[in-house]
Amino acid sequence: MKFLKVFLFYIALIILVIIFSTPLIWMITTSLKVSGTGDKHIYFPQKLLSFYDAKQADLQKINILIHSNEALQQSIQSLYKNQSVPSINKIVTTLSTLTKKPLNNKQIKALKSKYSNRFDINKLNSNQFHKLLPMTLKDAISIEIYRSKNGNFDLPEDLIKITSHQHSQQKRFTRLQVSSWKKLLFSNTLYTTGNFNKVLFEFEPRDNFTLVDAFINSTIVAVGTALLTVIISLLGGYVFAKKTFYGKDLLWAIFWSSMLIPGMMFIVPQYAIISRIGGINTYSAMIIPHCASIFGLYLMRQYIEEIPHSLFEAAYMDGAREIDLFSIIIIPLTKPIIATLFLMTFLSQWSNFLWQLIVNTSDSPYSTLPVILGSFKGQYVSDWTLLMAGSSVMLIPIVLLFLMAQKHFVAGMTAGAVKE
Amino acid sequence: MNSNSNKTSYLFLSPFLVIFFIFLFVPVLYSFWISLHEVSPYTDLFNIFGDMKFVGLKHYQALIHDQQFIWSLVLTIIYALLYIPGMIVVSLSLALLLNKDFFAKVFFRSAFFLPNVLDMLVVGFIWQLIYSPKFGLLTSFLEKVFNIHYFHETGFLENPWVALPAIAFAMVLKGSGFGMILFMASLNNISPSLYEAASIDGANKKQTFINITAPHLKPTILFLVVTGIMATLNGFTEVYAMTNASGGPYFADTTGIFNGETLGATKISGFYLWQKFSAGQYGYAAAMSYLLLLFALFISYFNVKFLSGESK
Repeated sequence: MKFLKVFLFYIALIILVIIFSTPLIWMITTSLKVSGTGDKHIYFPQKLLSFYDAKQADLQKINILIHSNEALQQSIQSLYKNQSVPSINKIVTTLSTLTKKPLNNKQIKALKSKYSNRFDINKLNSNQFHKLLPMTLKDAISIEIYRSKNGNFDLPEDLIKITSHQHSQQKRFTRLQVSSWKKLLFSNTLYTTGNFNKVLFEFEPRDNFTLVDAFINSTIVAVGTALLTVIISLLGGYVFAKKTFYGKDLLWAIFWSSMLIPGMMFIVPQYAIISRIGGINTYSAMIIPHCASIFGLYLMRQYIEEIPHSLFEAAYMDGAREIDLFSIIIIPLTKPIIATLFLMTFLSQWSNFLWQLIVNTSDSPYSTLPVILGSFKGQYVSDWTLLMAGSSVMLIPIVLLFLMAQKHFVAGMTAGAVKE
Repeated sequence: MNSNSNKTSYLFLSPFLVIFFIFLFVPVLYSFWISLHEVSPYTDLFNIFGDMKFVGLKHYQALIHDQQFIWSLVLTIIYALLYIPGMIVVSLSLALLLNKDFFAKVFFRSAFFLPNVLDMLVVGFIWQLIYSPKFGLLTSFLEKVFNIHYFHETGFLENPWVALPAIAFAMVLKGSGFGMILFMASLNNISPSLYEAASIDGANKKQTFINITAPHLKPTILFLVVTGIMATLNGFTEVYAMTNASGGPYFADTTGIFNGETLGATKISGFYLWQKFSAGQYGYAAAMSYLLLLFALFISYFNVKFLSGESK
């Protein structure tokens, strides 16, 4: 009974974990699929086994003995030479010449069941097209109609013919789609890392600007803000923790009450100020407005207050100046909270889409990752695999950072709420 | 000594003060100034605010009669009512589930907390893929497992009735980890002697929860409500990402309450503010943000009064 209870407890937890991590899992799965199949529920490449990938050993298993692997590969190359998918009869004749005797019925049947009839594009009906390839049923039917009129159908050439004939007003099949269908029909690869290559190095949202540039911009903005925030908060936090000065309580009250203002309210005036001082399309426009973190000041104040006063007095006795105190006492003792604040600021600026969207014009060389991804989505809304690869580029650093420094995140998140 | 202390204090504080003054304090006043002006739509992009015309309270008057603005407030309230209680219930349940020692507890805690640190825009994109019609993960899951075909054509985000709840659901899954961590911390802070005393008095589990656990969780709930209100008022990125920056599908107003205008199903106030901002109506947007500020302060005030008053 107790065992059952524990078992059910873990089952419940695992289901919850699956629900919570669905977006992440789904993003990675989609980003690894062959371009254009992001909207298809195909997960197992065996289903798509094509004769293009046939190996000597595979054929041996169905009793077709071929002595030279090279000869097999050569004949496969010549079968697929015209970039069209060969019919089953062609394959049978080729294999017969290779084995030097005609294939019997049993062998042909085994061949058909192993590679299914899918490798013969002319045997596919519209329903199978629709299921296998990323195309709508309407398009698949139009292919079937074309084939019934013209007898034969070769994938790349005839698709382009269909495009120009029937839907001249809009280009239905992009070159990218056609090449991904070829990939699916010719070989059994369903997963690829090519999307990452494409999105990082080949894809240019604008001239001479790749996603790598956006990544660098994002890193500069996030690290810059985090560093400056830590320095400014350390200075301010020390003053609030250990000094008495004129207007201390009033300032603290003003700082805190500004936390009650929703951030959305600041976009108009902050944008106005930035545009007045000529800060549009600069790094500093993205960095400096977020460096006065009240949360950071609060974290530092709380932490430095706990450092015993005697330490500071001892340092004064030794003739330390105020600024020396930071290197002698404060920084060594506040290392954990510095890490926490750094990570929290890094995170929030890495994801600060709205502000970075506002202060960058659409041709800014300082555009950050979220801005580029946002515009990328507008252009390539149907190509989910590419978009998800771009999203992974943005999320995976955060996930790794989180896994490495989880306790700092947790500390930072709880610190703000404990004393409320 | 004292004047010297003042000097060094302000010297150390000066970077913070300067940035705070320019980018947080001045904007509050400057925003009001802008809200009284009209920015002419055809100006130099790098000097937009150089050429403003004083129009007095015109924008505020227009806002009161702007059906879209009132609708966006209604939607924001609905969004808050979906998001905040959902988030609190889910995060409290998770915290209670994890509130004991067992094998791999840290793993489960991180798994629930992880979505919270992910980028809002990207998470929105992923959810749009999951919610999409025909081939979306959730749509096909419902079709294959529960035989529900209702979402086949529209998906979730193109159906006006479910678009906002769908966004709220995604945000609950994303945001619950934060609440869970806070609840776990405050559950840990409850002294075990209280539970011992309760068990000696013969209290059952339900009574213990209501009389001991719940009162100790009140400050955390209050904090989550306040931050939740902030999050819903700032809600922009999730709507932008999930609706292709369009504000979602449209309701046709057949009741006539909103003058028969078409109403975006996910056009919450933060998104509407951005739309006005990006359309170049800076004065109008500034006026709107001022009204939203009043709205936020009003709600926060009542929340603090209501929730903390009850605990005494």
